[in-house]
Amino acid sequence: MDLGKLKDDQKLDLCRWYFRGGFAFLPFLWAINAVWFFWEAFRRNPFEEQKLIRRYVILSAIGVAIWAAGLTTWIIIFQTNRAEWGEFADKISFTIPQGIP
Amino acid sequence: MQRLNSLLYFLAFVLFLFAGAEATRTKDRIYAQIEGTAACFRRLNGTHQFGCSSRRTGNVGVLQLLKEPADVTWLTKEAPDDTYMAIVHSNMFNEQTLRALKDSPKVGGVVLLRSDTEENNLASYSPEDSCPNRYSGLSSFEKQLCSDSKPWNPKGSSLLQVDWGFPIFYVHSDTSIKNITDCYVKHNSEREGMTTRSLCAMEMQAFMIAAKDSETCFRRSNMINNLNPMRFCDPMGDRNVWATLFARDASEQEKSVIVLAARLDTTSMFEGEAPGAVSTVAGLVTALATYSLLSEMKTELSPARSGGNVMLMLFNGEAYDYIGSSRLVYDMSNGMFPPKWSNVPSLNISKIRMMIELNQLSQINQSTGAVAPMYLHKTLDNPDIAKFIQSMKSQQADLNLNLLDSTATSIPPVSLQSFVKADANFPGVAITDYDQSFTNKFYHSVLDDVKLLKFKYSNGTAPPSDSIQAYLANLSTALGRSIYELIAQKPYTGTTKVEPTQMNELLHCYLNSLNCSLFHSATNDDFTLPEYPPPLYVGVSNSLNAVTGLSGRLIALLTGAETNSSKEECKLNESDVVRCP
Repeated sequence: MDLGKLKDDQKLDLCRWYFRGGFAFLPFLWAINAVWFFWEAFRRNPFEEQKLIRRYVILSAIGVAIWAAGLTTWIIIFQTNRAEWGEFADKISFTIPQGIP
Repeated sequence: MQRLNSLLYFLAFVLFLFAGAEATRTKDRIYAQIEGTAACFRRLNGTHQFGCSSRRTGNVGVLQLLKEPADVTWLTKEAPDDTYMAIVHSNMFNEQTLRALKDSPKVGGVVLLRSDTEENNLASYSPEDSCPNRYSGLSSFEKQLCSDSKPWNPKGSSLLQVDWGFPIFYVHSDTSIKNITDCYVKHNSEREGMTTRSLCAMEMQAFMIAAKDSETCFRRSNMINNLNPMRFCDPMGDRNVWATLFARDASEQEKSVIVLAARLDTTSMFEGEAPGAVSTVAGLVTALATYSLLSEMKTELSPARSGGNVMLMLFNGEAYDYIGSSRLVYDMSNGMFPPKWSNVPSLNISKIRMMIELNQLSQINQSTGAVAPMYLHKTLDNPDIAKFIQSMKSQQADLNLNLLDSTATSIPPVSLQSFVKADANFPGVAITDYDQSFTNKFYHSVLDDVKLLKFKYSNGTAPPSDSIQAYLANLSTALGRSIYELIAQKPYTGTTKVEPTQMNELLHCYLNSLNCSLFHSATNDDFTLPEYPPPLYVGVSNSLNAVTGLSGRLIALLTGAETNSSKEECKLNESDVVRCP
């Protein structure tokens, strides 16, 4: 979709829905939102909806940062302890590695 | 258009060029497939993993022939490349070399080159533990029956109990050995300038998906985490083979069955290469021939037997913590042997009068070269055992045997241990070629083969009187007559005996080729019997070793009675051990 062809109120709608959608454990929506509307929120000359768009963009960025930190921490903990955890680790795995403990 | 045309011409030219050349794929110009190999593979127990595995994509390294210990030092310390594939001939394939290679990060794999025709002139090589089955039978983690200072298998290097971390292959085809050696000599033998010229390298693939221990592996095999569940490993196991001389019924008394036992399996480091000539086959064929002799004596024995019976029992999986015998004892103690559905009365340990087990047997002492004596290891003293030993010894002069009482203070690592573990007063005798420690210096290795047993198949002629065939035939005769005497309470006066020619055929089947006259007679025509000797590794329980079923059919052939049934009737039940007319 080309943002340039949308009116400003439609942009706000879109940004708002991406922000709301992210709460359904979809941090990628927030990541897209933050990047996609960054120009609209911070670079463009002020317009009526910009304040709200900026708010959603900042919140989306914070959300995705928290997700990223959380996921990274979990992946490091899981990967370093997987072999040691034994049965528990196998149970929460989707694919079990082959040939290694 | 002009340009397109010239491009087409060019393409046609290129195609023509390729078509004119040899139609070989680039891959085939770089790589040569190595045939006639056997891989070392991974096994698990309750706590550890053993054996070998490559990386998933295979291990690649520069070929390096190790001719002497100095080459090992050079490879581990000075060699310039990152990864090497160590090639060794059997004289260097020993504990010292392998452990040095295991500790070096430069070794990506090991290849053992040994031609099928190569003479065995090694002093010893046994990859088995010095105390076989150290933690099972009468031994346990807390209580050891075998001591490291005076072990049963003094040549044992425990190489089977090592987790190597790289693949090890056994190459036995002459062409492959030549290919590997030639490539090495042509490209790699000169150590000068190794870093600047092209070298000959090898890729080995033997990726094992099992890991850690059996518990982990079974758990992972039984988990369904996604739509593509996977089997990581299989439990080891096969079937025991047994038969009784007389039909068993409800009138069977306590202490009435004499069990004649031998093992049916052996092991080695390499898949499909487990000949076990001395460790397994010699005892196995002796048990089969003895049982066949007893079946010939059946008509004379029948009126005098007063309820006595003989059971032939071939245990499978004994190399791995007595899989076969421990399962049998377990089933016996739970009244599950024979299985309830067979409608045969169950056989408890208490019904066994005594067990006679044939373990490792060889004619020639490997250290001295002289005719080896046989040792009788008894579990306890009782009148039956005394009578059996006395009866055996009374025949030794006639049958050219040399039987001695064992001086060992404990029971050797044989199946009897499983029975004594369940019943401390279990009467049994193990007949072996060793006294206090194995004389077999190649126990559980690829070298425990037909050459070690000194068996030469005499096709069409009678085997010489000093051959292994004659020796084991005489032992079978002595055993058959002694068992007869135990059951009938009187000496055997007939002349029936085991002929060396029968032993010749039996040994030929188990040591030279499955496609032999006995297995041929024991199977239907639609059976394809391969030309190689049967590998006697116990394998996994859901894929039975061919030799298990063949041994069962062989027993039926040697001892069975003919019935009047038509070809159609006999074809009805495929699982029956029946040879159709």
